[in-house]
Amino acid sequence: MTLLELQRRMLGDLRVPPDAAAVPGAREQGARDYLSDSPRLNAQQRLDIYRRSCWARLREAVAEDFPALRAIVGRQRFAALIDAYLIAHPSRSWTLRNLSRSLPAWLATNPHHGGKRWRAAVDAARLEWAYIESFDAASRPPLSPERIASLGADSPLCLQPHLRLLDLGWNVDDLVVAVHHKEGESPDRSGKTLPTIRPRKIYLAVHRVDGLVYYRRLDKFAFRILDALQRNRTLAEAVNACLESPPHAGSAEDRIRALQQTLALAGQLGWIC
Amino acid sequence: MPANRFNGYTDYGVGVGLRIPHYDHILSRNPTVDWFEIISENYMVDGGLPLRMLDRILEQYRVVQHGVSLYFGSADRLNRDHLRRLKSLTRRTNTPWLSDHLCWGSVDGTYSHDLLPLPYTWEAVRKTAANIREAQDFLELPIAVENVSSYAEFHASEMTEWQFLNEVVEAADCGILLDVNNIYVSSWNHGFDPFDYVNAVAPERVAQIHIAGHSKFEKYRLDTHDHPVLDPVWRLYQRAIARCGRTATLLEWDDRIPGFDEVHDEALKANQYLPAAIPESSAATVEMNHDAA
Ligand SMILES: [Fe+2]
Repeated sequence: MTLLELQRRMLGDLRVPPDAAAVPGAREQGARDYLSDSPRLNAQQRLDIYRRSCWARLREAVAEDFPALRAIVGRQRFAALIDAYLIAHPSRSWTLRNLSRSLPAWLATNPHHGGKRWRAAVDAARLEWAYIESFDAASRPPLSPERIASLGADSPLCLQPHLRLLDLGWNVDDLVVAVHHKEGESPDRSGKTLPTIRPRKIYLAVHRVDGLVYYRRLDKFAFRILDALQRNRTLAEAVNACLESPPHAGSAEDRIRALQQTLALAGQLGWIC
Repeated sequence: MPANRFNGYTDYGVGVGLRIPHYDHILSRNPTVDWFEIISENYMVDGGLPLRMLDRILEQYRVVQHGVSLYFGSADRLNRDHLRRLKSLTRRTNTPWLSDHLCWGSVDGTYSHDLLPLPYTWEAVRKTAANIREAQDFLELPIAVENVSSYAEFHASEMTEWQFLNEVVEAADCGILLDVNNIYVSSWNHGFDPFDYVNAVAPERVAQIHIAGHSKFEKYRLDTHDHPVLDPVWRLYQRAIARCGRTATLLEWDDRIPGFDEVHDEALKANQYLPAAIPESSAATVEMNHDAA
């Protein structure tokens, strides 16, 4: 076996979860082909030390990223969900930080892992991943209020890299705030019940101030403008895009006022740069 | 070794690994610490709190970077995005040298996130040394490779682990981060004499030493970094210092982390084995002297 063949073989064996019986399609090859026995442990037992530590590390990394998702789907389903995700999406990045990046999209196409409240579970996963992205994304010097006031319709605008915009179908932001807060508390105070989540349209900005991540609910108009700007549209294009579909209620003056309010808010929060 | 080309001609003493639970203590009490070792990957991000905290540490302390994911022994080529981010961090920290492990961890772009053992073959020597050389050239910094704890051995091996280490560092012309706890753990798991290992390592290439605690199970020892340093590991450390001289030493404590003082006191026990420092390098508090080399 060349070094490459040996590494392919061993990583393939390590990718089988330690409790593989529960996982359909899991395959285990004998470690004896390439590992030797020791007086105390045979080749398979020696490989299993690595398998357990690999899976413990990966499972813990995903679990840490999604405490609110766990609260929605329950502990048992969450453990199965993590293993199924890790089998479908082996890590393709040198950093564990990126391990969960495909989980929201994966869960959106795998309803059986989300349980009865699958759509809420997907929303929670999207929001918790947005938190991770916002936490360590870059931050650029914001434009001053004077510069924002002088912007023309065709001015190129860019939004803070740490700003994430989400349209949610459930009020999972209430849950995420409560769960994250609870995690930071001492165990004796963590027995509080979590807020109930319900279907509800929510437009949310996830952003960072002084190193801490915050959530801010937006109205639909502000969300659409900012969302279009984040897709590199000019101000004029962004306004047009959100007037096209579905029609924005109110007069032309209402729309201008809403636009001004959105820009004022974005400027105040340092989102425009 | 003190001040050699593998540690950027620095003469660091005893340091501890920088860990998040200690941020508050360090930044509010400014304890006298010779140096901190950071896990590079924790700070290879675009912004936010991790870099803010690092910058505050860098205002007062000297920092050396230690990585966990370059995987010099992977048959894959090194990841360029990873190297670029790493280089950018070295510009921020002014690390005089940089370390990562003598292991593999990824294949065909899929990552295990574990420090997997290599077969001690000539093919692995060539491939690993080529990767280390590439990283060293790209980063423009001396690299020290660390021996890992291991729990398995390959039929394919053609030499002992210490011969393999010496062959790799010679072929790559790089330094060694000698982890005496890892030597002890591996010696127990594989049944060799850990002193044979320490006695065989090229002392002139040792840039740094790691000490740490491990866990005992019935049939194996596990490198858990969640205990004080055990006596047999101190004895190996003593032997390593006798061979290498005063060498930058770092205590790793990564799990069930006690208060900062307890960790630091454990690290400072190393001083009893270290020969006296030369006067100009004995300053313990450091203010912006990243150019100490
Ligand atoms: Fe180490």
